[in-house]
Amino acid sequence: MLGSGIVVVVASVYLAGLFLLAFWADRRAEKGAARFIGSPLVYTLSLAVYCTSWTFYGAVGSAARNGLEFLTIYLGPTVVLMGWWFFLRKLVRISKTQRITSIADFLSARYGKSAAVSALVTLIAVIGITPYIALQLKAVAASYNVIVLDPPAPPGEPHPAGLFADTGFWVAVTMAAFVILFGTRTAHANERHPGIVTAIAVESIVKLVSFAAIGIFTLYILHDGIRDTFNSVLGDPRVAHMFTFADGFEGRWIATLFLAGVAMVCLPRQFQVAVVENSDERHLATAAWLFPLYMLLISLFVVPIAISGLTQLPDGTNPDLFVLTVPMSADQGVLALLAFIGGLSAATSMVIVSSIALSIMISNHLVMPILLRLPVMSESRSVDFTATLLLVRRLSIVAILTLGFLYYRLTASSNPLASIGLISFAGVAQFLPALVGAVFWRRGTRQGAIAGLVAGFSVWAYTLLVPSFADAQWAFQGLVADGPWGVAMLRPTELFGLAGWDSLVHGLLWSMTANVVAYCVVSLLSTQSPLESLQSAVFVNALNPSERGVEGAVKRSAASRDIFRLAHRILGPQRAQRIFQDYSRRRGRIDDLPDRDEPLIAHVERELASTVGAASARSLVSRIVKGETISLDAVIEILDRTQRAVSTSQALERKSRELEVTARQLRQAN
Amino acid sequence: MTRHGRLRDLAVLLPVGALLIFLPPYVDIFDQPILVLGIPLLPFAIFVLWLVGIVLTAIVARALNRADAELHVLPDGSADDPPAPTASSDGDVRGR
Repeated sequence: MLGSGIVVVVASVYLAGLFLLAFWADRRAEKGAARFIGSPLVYTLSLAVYCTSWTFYGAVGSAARNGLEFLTIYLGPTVVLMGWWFFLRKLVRISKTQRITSIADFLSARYGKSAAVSALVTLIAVIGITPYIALQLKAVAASYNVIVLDPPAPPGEPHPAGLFADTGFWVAVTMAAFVILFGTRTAHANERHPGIVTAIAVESIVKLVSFAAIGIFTLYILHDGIRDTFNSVLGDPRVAHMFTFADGFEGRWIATLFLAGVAMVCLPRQFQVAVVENSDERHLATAAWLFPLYMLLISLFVVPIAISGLTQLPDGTNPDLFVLTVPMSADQGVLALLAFIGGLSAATSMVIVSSIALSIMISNHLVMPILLRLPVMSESRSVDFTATLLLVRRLSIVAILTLGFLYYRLTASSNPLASIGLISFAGVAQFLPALVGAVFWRRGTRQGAIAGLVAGFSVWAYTLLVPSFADAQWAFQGLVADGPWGVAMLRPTELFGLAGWDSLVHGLLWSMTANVVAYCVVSLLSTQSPLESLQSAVFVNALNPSERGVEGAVKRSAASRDIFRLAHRILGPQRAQRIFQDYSRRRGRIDDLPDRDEPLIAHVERELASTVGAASARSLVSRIVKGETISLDAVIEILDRTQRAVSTSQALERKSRELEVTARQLRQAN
Repeated sequence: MTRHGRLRDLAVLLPVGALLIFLPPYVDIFDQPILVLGIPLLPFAIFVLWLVGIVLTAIVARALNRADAELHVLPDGSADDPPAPTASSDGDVRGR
């Protein structure tokens, strides 16, 4: 047992240190003296924001409950990173050229810079991630209560009646303040945050070190080495399930492996650190093996801690908190405090990056499209656009954490951490068909993407979210028990009579089926707009070096004064000035207002997109340009270019072979 | 070029192979009541396979990066590192 004062002081000092670190790193990056900050090691460690308090506390809990299934959560991302060459690299390459700000922006840009797609993706992300943020609040609150309260509150106890007596409330408030200070500090709303990435990387080291410390403590202090740890429990029925597969493990094993792999790219925060914050494509080559190694190292200690918890603690101890209760039962207060800080790191890094990523999505794709439609925002030059943007982001952060806190308060606290996390994973997995289609399937259309997202999300909400509310005794109990209007065939957990399945596997199967079928069928039935086919060619052929320079396909013009005024209003005077000077210099001109042709418009549109997203940038630009046409011939030419290059080389080869034969015949004839 | 092509194929096949070995029924092979170095075979085998996959990925990634660097050196000796600025896609340069 530790005094609450010590815990609060240590946690505050730790968080303040992190803030100073981020501040320092931002300053270094601005000066361009950021060799270490922009290194592959920091990039890899920032990916480890994947390991949240779900990993830190939940993995041991999951191992104690379901055995080796917890490994799939790390094997899935391992497989995705092993395939970096053909998938992640492509996402990074596209995002750099298109100035992508989030996964919603990515999908929107590919499907014709559609505002509907990005708004839909943002909505799904917010709803899907809310339980996940609630999980972090729950983990920090529970861990605080365990190391401070005596005796610890039994698991499943309802939240304290008063709002201010609830540790979770203070955790949420602290995190909101922290994220606002951290994420929206910079005046220019650029989407890269070197300071935060550095802080996240350090938090990843803290997580690994403190988790390893608990693991080594159980292996070498509580037991006599690895061999002894396993020997002492051989044949013990309490731990036997951790060394073998249960009957019928296949469904959940495959489902969680799939979900974890998908989460590695589809979670907004993973997309943020892996794609948006990536400063050099070559970092992926290091992260491809180093990040799996990080996950392997963390996983090594899960089973030993679970063994100690299951055999040495009284029955009924909450396995989700073994990481704390194992050292505490051995009277190792300092070690327990280290574990608490590790868990705090895991939770804060997730909340920081998630709420920054979500706030960018909310401000760019939900609020801005509406604001930009207001005459006040689009006409008057007195409105400071950057300040408005930052204000919207701060309010979004507060809203996100409020939602997470409400979910935490309203649902039962007895749900295991892992099951909440998996529901979130299944929610964001709905982006996968549209995302894979975006980079590999040129025929995928905007209508198809919207249909797939809507279908998959609806089925996910019905088969996974609704039952989780019913489990929490919150709502929908009747619906889950008897089906809508008493139709048993439509029960959310046994849809179409598919009974006896694990509810996660069941929900995932139906939602992905609905999603993929709707995406493919509607895509095949609809046609792309010219802009869409242009973007689809750019996305699908992103790794093909001959496919550069597609912008020639768009013909539009605008007065350079209008373009400048637009950039000035949205990006602020300094940045606008710099953009135009850079552009002129690269074009070999010295005056400030260069030519008024398509390359300049495309350049400014891209700069705008890096602040407000592709869809808003396009709608802003299209208001000032005249005569926008995308020549269909140009699109067709781009689409055909690769094909033609291939056939030309084949024809050449054939020709040279024919020549050879002719030459030989000639020689023989002579 | 053929070496590069082979490496690229390997970079695609490696994750596919890793996925297969971690999926049932293959992963089920290791579910035996045997101890290796005092550790039950199933967790031991998964961790060893995982480590082997990591090492292979590191080797292929290094080789690919080197082959890629060679491939992008043009005859005149200049590096054609993607994404290179061209007249019509000048905004690709992000060095700020």
